[in-house]
Amino acid sequence: MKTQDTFRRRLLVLVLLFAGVVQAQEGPRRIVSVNLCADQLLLRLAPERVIAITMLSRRGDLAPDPSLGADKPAIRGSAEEILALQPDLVVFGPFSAAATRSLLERLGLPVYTLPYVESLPALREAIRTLGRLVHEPERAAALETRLDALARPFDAEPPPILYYLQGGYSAGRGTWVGELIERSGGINAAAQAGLTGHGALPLERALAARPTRWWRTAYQDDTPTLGERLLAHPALRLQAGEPRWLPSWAITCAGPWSFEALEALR
Amino acid sequence: MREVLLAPALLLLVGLLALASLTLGYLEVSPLAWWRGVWAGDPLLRLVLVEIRLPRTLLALSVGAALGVAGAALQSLLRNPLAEPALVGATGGASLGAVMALYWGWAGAWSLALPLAGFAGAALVTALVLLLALRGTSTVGLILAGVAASSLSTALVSLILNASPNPHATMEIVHWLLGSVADRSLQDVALVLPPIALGTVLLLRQGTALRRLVLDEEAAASLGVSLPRLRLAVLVGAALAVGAATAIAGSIGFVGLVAPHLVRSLVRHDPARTLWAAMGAGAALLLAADLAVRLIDPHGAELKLGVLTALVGAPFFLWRVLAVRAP
Repeated sequence: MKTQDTFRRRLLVLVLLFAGVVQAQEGPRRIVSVNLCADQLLLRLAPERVIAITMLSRRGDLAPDPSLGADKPAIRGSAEEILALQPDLVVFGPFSAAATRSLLERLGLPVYTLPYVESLPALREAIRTLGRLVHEPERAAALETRLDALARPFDAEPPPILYYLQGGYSAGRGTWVGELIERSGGINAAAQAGLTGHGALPLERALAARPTRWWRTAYQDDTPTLGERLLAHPALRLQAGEPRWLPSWAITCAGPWSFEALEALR
Repeated sequence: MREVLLAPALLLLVGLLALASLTLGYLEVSPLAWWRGVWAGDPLLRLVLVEIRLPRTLLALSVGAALGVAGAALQSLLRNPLAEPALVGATGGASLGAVMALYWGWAGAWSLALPLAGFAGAALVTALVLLLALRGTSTVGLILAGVAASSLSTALVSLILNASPNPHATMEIVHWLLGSVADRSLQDVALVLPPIALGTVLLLRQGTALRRLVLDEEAAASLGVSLPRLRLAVLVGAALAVGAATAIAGSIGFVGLVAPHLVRSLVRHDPARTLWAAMGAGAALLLAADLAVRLIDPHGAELKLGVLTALVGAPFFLWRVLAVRAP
């Protein structure tokens, strides 16, 4: 683990040196983020030097705090927009357009890709890496401290909690939602039912772990679908009661805000 | 002899399949432990039995019955062995109506909007196809009209779902194309069972008239059959039954086509008794298909019903066709 860390650090430094970005102690000054999750972390690590964020960060349902970065231009993430901004660091997400990324790389722009975060250790790693990248290790450490303070379990007996969305979609083992359920002192009913990763769960199997609570998100709940009908199934309420509503931003991107959202459910 | 035994045999088959459908599912419990737990009053098992498996079983049974009887009635009316709810556009039209009701929010505002829209869609498209088909009464004309109407409604269904801002809607296209009765509630059953029953009774009552139609249309008319009335009755009956069934279960092909063929020779090609027998065969077919989608891969994504009905129905159908042609 340790050696892997130093190796990664060396590699990173080497890459940055190669791209000619490291400007002694100061780090990048014109950071463009083209990923919602990267937006949210960078706006907390180096708000002064972020010069553009994604349009998604303007949306109240996806961004924990849309007022954060409201003064910065929001872009769609096309190569033209990014080039016009003359950035010295472009941060992509794991699923961002690969074509745009490789085009910018070919043009010699320093590019970093934020990995997809599905666990607390991965989130710590992401915060630390971004902190180093933008030369803000202290702020990264402070963010981690806040994360530790928030990520403490409920003290009650662990109840099986079911996370259930439109169409029966759920999150099992190895997911950020699963991590949130366990960190909040619950048992992930979907993982108990044998679900690994994200996927659909038949109602019967979702109820098999006898969940006494269930969580859902408000994502697009105003546009009716057949899957939305499933969430009105009486069996769900007879077993697990009324749902607790998790804001979409709590699970879209992993971060301290996810735990802040859980506080509201206590 | 075979005819005497057919009704009890079909009843027994449907009963056994319904029992299996209530017994087998996604809970990892042996059938014996399942019923023991239900008997002992385990709250979870009772909940799953009453709220999940019972509606599922009732829907598979009634949707299958509706498709079977509608298929038989349409085949007799058009005197065409290829006619079936999907081919004459009833299924596609009902899907379109139901999708409009669901995704434009009518169904949420007024629960009866869903079966009514299914009925309206089925009736409209079927009427169009029958009008075209009855003018020529040629098989080709019927097929062409049916294919055109079905493609059009399928395209419109996809268009509406693609336009929905909800990403789940796009994934649900496959449901409307292949059908499923998974995870429906008793409310859903209460919503569609009355129109299905009404339509089925209406179709079953046309038995005598359809029997007289076997001769030819003029002979039937001389025996007191009013053709316009008969056509209207079959159209309304099929649209009611298939429209409601499709509104809740999506479009399930093949059952309406295969079920009458499965039983026709067993009732000596009597159209009146074919209606009853096809109803039973349709129910049994769909119950069996719905059992199979649950059991084939209990941990993966559930197969859609249309996949199963086609996988099982198509080879059997081919075998029947060859068997009929052989002598």
